[in-house]
Amino acid sequence: MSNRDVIALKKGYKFGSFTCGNERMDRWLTSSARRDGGEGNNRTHLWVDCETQELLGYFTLAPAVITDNPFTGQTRPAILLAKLAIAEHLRGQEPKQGHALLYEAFRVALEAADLVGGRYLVVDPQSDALVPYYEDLGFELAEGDADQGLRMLLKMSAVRRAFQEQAGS
Amino acid sequence: MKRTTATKQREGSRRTSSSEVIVVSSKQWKRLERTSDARVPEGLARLVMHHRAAH
Repeated sequence: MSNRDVIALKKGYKFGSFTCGNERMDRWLTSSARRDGGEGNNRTHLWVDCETQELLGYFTLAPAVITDNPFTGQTRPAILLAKLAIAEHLRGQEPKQGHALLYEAFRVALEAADLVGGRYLVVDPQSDALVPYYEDLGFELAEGDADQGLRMLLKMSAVRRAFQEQAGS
Repeated sequence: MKRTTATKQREGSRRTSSSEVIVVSSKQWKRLERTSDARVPEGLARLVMHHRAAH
């Protein structure tokens, strides 16, 4: 996996023939990600092959707020992993490429939290089928508002400690 | 009022807009805030251990 790199999406980047197999996610990447990033709404990071520069996947991080009441409640800062997708042709490979990309997303989210704060890491599982996977990683479903869709959260301190423990081992 | 395509697109992009608010119940809030920082979930530890080796 050492021949992969994460780079921030910048103006003029050519996406090539990348597809993750989900038309909506592909369209968002090519038509909206740059604009959203330019406006400061979120930031998309590309996972590329260092040698060929082929786009292998992407993830998008955004600032978020956790609250127990949107009007009068307490709030905590969070980092939202809003989107994550790997190239369709990498699916099913061993070791699992999606896990490697998720690792990179967590690493960058932790860096962001260390720079600006972020008490929680939030993920959007995209489908019910992915909920057990994220639960295994320690995330739990946000239980507050049925209209907000699937949102799962984990304290950033757990992510930080996981990286620290591995660095020290 | 009839919603335009642009309006629908803006609404669609809210899911990744800035200052997204995630609401949790008071009960969950208290539990989360009390959760010990010392424990790393096993699945997360496995993920980090496996991929850290590749860096």
